[in-house]
Amino acid sequence: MQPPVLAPARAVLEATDLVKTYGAGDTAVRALDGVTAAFAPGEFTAIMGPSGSGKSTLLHCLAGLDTPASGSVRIGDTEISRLGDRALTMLRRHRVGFIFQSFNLLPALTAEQNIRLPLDLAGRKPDPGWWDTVITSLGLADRLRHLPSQLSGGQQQRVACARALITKPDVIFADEPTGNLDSRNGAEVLGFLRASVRELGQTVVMVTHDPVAASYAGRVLFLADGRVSGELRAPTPQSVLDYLKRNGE
Amino acid sequence: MMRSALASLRYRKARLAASSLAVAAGVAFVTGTLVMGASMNAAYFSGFAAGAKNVAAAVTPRSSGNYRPGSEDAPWVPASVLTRIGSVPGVTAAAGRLVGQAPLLSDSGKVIRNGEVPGIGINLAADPALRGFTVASGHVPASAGQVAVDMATAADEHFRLGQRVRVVDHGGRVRAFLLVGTIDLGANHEFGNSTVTVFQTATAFSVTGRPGYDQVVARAAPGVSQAALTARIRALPGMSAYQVQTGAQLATAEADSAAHFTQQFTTAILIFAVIALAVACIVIYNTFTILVTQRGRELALQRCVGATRRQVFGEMLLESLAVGVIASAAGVVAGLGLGWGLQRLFAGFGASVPSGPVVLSPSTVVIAMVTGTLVTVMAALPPARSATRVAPVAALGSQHEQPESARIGWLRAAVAVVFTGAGVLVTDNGMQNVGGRSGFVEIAAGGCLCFVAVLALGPVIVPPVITFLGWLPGKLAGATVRLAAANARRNPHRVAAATAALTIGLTLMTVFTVVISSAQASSDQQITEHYPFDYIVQAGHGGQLVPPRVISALAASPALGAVAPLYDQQATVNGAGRTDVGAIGRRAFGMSIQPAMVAGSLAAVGPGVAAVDSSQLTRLHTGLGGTVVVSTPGGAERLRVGAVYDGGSHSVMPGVLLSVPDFTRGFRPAGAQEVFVNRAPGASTPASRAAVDAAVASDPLLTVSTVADYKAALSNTVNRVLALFGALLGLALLIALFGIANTLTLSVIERTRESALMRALGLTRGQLRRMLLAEALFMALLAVLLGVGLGAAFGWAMVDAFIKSAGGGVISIPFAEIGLFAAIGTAAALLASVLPARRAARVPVVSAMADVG
Repeated sequence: MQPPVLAPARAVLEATDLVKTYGAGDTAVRALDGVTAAFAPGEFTAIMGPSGSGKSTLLHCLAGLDTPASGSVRIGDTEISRLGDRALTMLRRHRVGFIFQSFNLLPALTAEQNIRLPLDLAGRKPDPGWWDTVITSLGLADRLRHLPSQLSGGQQQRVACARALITKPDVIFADEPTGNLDSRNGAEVLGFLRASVRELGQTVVMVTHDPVAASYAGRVLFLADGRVSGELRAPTPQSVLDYLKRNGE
Repeated sequence: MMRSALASLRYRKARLAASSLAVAAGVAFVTGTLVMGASMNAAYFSGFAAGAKNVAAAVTPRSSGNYRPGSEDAPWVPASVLTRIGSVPGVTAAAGRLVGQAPLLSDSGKVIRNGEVPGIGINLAADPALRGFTVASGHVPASAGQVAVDMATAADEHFRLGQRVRVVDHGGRVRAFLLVGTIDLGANHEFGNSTVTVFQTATAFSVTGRPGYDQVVARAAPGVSQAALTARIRALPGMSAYQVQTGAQLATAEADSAAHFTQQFTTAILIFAVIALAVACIVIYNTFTILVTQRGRELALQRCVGATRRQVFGEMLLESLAVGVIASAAGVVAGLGLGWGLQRLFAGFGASVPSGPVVLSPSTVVIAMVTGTLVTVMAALPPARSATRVAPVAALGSQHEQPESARIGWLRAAVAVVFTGAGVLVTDNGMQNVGGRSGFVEIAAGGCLCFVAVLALGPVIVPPVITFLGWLPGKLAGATVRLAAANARRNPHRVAAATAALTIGLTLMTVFTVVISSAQASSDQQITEHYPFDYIVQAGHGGQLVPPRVISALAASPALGAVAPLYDQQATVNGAGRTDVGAIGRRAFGMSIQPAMVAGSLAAVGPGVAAVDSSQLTRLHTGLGGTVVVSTPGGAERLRVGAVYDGGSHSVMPGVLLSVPDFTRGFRPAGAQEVFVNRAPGASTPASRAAVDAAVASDPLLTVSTVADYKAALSNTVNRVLALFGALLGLALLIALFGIANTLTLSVIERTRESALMRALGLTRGQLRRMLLAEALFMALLAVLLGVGLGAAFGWAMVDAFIKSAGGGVISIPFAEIGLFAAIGTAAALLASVLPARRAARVPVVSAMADVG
């Protein structure tokens, strides 16, 4: 496997000197303490770190769900850290996809309606060719009319993947996407994410604490105490474990 | 468990606030009704107590029963009785009290009327302690040419002391007096809101034409008891012809008879209070059901750590008890204000209700508190029972919501089938049963039964109706509306219960509007069809008549055509007493008065020939070609029945119609009751109106009205009634809105994570707010559809039954009013969704996502 090009000419997602604090005064906690990171187009990056290292906060700030105290986040040509609520909403709708650990789907909508939701909200129709590609590759064709409560956990996460992909976003953010799945279903979802990067040129940023999940990525960023503490290219489960052991975890 | 219940109450105060509001509103309505009734009673009592102030003994005519103050045929106590009572040992002072007609004129020369009633006159008792009023300004009349007027009238008419005021005496003459004072009747409601003029006693007799006093009262010397004095007076010779009471009896007896009216009145309003409480009950039931559903995991956790079913049940009941007590207390406080407001409202609508201080009796507090608390606890019982069925294992399961099935239990299905069947049968029966009054009762009962069936079927009706309602807007308005429709469909039970309250309000309003509007249309139609006269000249209340010179002046005017006087008198006919006998000028028939003829023609009516209303035939044992014998002061008149007509229910036609010559010969009337006047052909409306006004100008007591005035007065009354009931039902509507706001708020809380997910996926704040607005809109439309549908159907059934029993009338569906109700209901539901929507939109995305429930 070829490592991705170093120092990409133009990163699709870039964070510079991000700081995020919770609380105030003596009890203030710096969840992010000057994080700088760049993500190249078509790259699958995993973010790892112990609990409280700030990895979820970083993901939320990168995705425009949360605003940093200082520093900047750029997606494509857009500086998002100073956007208002409406602009951020439009950015999430059109240029970002999400996969969460749980509660990914609206219980009142069928699988198909859930997948189309971001397009529906924008008043757009899906591109038929792209729709078929996504549905077929995720094997959801015979599940489209089902409600989330009638789907297994793995199927629900696959619906969430389809929903994230359908808008052809600049970046897909995944927050512990396999946290609630057994290993076989987890592998299936991760394999799909990797395939979307390799075959469709998608950019994916995933937070995980599982070395096996991280090994599906092309690069692992390690976070500790709100700072980037290291990076690993072309990881394997073993190399990730070794790194974690070396750094006292 | 107590501690746990209270802790949970504190924790959820926001969620419980809304349901508490619903309870409080219902209790407030009940309290308000009771407070109003008690206050009105108290006002009556204090009013009559004012009349009985300082009175130790009172002598009134027997059978003084029901007559208007001042009516001429009321029995009286002669002045000689006053003289004799004044000389009874132990009497410090005695006074005769006189009440009679004394229409006061405004400066413009018109009779001052309060409602329809012209002013009355009272005399000035010699003993100031036995006067039922106090002097507000100036002084009491000191000579025969002076008068005092009640302060409200003086203020309304801008009278100044020292000016001349004019009064029409019983002979129809206008007499001028010097206004020297104004009086304050205080809490004395004996005269309602009438204009009251005080004369010296002799003047009062000559103005009112009363032959004696209405009441003679006596004040006791110190140390003489009321009972002793009353016994002495009763022992006087000839007193058995009068009723002799102590002052205390006088106050109580008269107040009691007056309070009877108050009671009927409060009973009617209490029905609305019960409706309000029923609506509140539905809201409470719904709230607790949602709370139990949302707390499923928490309750399961309690069961996991060892809480028994009984403990869970007890906790829920304790919660509802606390809510019931607190909300009822708040409702009682609010009800005090409402009672005051209702009194003002009714006074504003012209009902002559007495006003006075607001009275809160202990029984009111007890009834309101117990009802409110009991209703709350009862409403919480079913949800509390289902709370005990939460399995402990539910605490560990995933929090994915199971779709609620629209399937209904066999009980619900059975209730729906049985009630629909019974409702339709009873209604149909009521519609067939056209003879009696019970038809309406049956239709009303059938309506209630069908309503229960609709409530039971609610969860089944909701999903398809919402799908139907949401189809077109969903196509047009896009994702937010489609999401709203999906959300409204997902809890059919909840939505059905939330809208039930609004449905009740709208159903009642629609039924009511259809009935009232049809009644108005029917009488309009009857007026137009049967009485196409241009003007009616009417005499005032209290036995005044249209004098013959006015009738001849009208007949002489070239601008006027047919002029037909109507004479009317109660008399014994064929042995049947109190039969309505009358005569109408011949020129009226065919031109202005065209009653439906059953047999013969009115042209036959002439000397020796009468016509009879068909409804009187059985009572008088006669028929076409038969005879009627009318007892008149001039002797018995024997007449042949030459025609039979059907006057209808809004008729001016008497029971027995004589020719005018026969009538005047027999009864010798001083004038006509009414005169019907038509324009001369070719005369303009202003010219004919001026001619009529000129003819009556010398008699300020006469009023002139046109058919348009008639209809306007009628529709004015109808609109007042509608507004009044609208205001009453509005409260039920208000409670229903608490219900919708409540359901939406709880749904918003329940869907916090869902909303956050949608916001993460690109739903703007505005879209989120619009989505909830649309959801409220769907609920409102559902209620409008059901309420207006049911209301129109049963309103129509009632009117139809009425038309069959009355033998005529029209059904009028007032689309504009119903549309207005629908719009108000919808707008109000949207309003109810504003706060929950804002709340949902305010939640930041990340914190809601992190809040793993």
